[in-house]
Amino acid sequence: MPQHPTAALSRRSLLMAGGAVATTFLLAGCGTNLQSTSAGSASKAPLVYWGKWAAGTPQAKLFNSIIKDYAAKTGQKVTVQWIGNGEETQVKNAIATGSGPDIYDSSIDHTAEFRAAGALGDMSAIFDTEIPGEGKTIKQVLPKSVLKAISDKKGYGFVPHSVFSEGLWYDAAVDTDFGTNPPATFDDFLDHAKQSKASTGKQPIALDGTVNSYNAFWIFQLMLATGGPGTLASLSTSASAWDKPAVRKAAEELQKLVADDLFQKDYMATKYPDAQNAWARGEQLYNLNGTWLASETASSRSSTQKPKVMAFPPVTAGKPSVVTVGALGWAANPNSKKQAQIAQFLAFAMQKKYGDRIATDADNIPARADSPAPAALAGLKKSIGSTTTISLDFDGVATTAAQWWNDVFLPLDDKFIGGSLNVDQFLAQGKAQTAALLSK
Amino acid sequence: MYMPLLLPALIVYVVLFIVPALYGMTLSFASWAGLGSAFHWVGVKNYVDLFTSPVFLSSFWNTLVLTAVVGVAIFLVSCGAMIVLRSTKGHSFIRSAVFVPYIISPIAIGLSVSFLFNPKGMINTLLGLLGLDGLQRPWLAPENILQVIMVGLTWSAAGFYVVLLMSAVDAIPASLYESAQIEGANLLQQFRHITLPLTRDMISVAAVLWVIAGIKTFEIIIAFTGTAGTPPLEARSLAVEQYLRVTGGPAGGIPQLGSAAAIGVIMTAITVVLILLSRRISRREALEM
Repeated sequence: MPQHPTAALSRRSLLMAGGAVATTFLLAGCGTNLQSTSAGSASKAPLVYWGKWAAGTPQAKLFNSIIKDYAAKTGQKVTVQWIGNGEETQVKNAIATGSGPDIYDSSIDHTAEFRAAGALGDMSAIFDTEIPGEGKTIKQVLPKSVLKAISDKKGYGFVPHSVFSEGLWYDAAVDTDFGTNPPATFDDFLDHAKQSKASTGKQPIALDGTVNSYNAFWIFQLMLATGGPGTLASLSTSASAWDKPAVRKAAEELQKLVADDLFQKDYMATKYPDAQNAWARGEQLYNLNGTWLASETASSRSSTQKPKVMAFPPVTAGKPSVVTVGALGWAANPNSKKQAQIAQFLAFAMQKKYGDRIATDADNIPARADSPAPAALAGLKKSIGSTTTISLDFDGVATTAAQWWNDVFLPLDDKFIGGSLNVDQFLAQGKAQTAALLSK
Repeated sequence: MYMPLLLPALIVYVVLFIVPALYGMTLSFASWAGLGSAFHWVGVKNYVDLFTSPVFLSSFWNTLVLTAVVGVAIFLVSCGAMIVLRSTKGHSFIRSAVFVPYIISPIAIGLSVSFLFNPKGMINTLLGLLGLDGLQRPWLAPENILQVIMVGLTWSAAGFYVVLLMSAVDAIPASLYESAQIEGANLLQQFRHITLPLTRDMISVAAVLWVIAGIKTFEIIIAFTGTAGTPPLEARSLAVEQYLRVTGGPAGGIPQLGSAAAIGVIMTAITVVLILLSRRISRREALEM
């Protein structure tokens, strides 16, 4: 890998030293056989694949069966290691030192990180590879919104197998017509929730307030509704963006929600996953969360709860909702000498029969446009397929401006949704702290 | 003459300790996101940025508060043990029992204790049963979390220091206590005039060990607050702040290894200063027995 010309440290000394700080993270206890990529022309040398799934997870089982089918069909072996947590760091370090896997997987949140480390190259040839027996390329079986979500300035990133989104989860057993006749605006939703609270005496919305990114779903969805995609991201790059009317409007709406006292008692002190499990037991009706919520809470679900998810209601009636799109997928090591084999394998893995199993085996939304989603997620799958305006989760700001996100926005948003700041204080402090961070 | 004998150990020490430490210090003057990314020298910018960052300064303060408060709490628990356990029946069993939490992983302690402090957890339930509803709190909310973490940390760390100091107490000849009792000294007086002076060296060692451990407090905070999000500012220690910079945060941001290395250098410096202070406080003439 090209080192910066001013780097006075040779790669050898980097490897030897590892750094006092990063030592524990650098190639620590990999237990992996770092394969050299100088494979030469022996095309049947096995492809090396590192996965972020733990062995035994539905995804690991599904991908293992794809690998087995591929070997039976083509004679091409794929050696897989299920690394689990910390896989991203290992992949980046291994690729940077000239070894590492041919293929790895991750979520698209990590795209910027892999690009910066030189672990993600030009993926366009892979996306133009034809899927066996379907007469279509990988690119052609994916919805436009998903293709947009997985791309950055340098083009396509990960080949997505699963997509996720976030939306307002509700209990269809209680709110029978909530999905077919959804609240026209966010204010209508608040009225609806207040009525439910008045008639049942129960707090209607569940929130695991110790997870600050879950708290931030609310302000983020409101900003998407008032200012569209990029509104949140603009707050990280310019202090004056905090003065936008759309930002104030979103904050005012959130203030209403806090003032109406609709979350469960002591929501800011609720240890994850307590609130979402209580929601699954039917103690609360609503939870603004990712599409993974129903599968995550399946073991706590009461016999009567019917979890369904729908797009967040608009702030202005009639305005279409912006759909957030996240994805999980595969990428190729740009230094691998086996680009053609990698493309062939990924095209094989993207067949519809495997895409369908993302829903049936792993309870996720398949990335392919023509693979049906699990029943609870069908509504959002449809929105993802038809939407014209998409946004990355939190506008991608958690990765593009991580320090601002962790040190400025999340702590302020916690205070705001926790009720200890009002709209004016939230906006003024956000503006001042952003300016201070940008001036460095 | 002795060089050939010293050489293997010296090589291992230099390669595994000195070189990485120097490398970490070097890195603190650079901007770097890890292997494969561009490396730039930035001079003292990382340090300037840290000391002008309210977030870093609050984590610095939290670390000092946590080290001091939990240190005092551990000292009080240990003193109580030294007074009571010396002459209690079954003291070796009690000693083993208080040592057990120290063996358990801080991650496990952090998780289990945090569930006790949940809004509908055992602590609030007990307070409700006792009719003390006024004392029920949202314990894990950002404004209370550091106190709860300090309670958990005291509980998990105290056992080690109790065992350490009791071993010094055991070395004090029983005849001293017997003659003190004949003179009519009560338990507190015996502690004040016999136990404390004769265990000062061990207390000083324990203080140094605690300072080193306290400054590095990390796992228990992550278990309490960071299992599914970023720890709130109110609960961040220097080590947590460093971890956020090494990883780029839980959502996969770009790592800031230069900044993280600078925090490591600062932590080492604070540790050295605090150790010197605690040695200075406990310095005295050796007692003749």
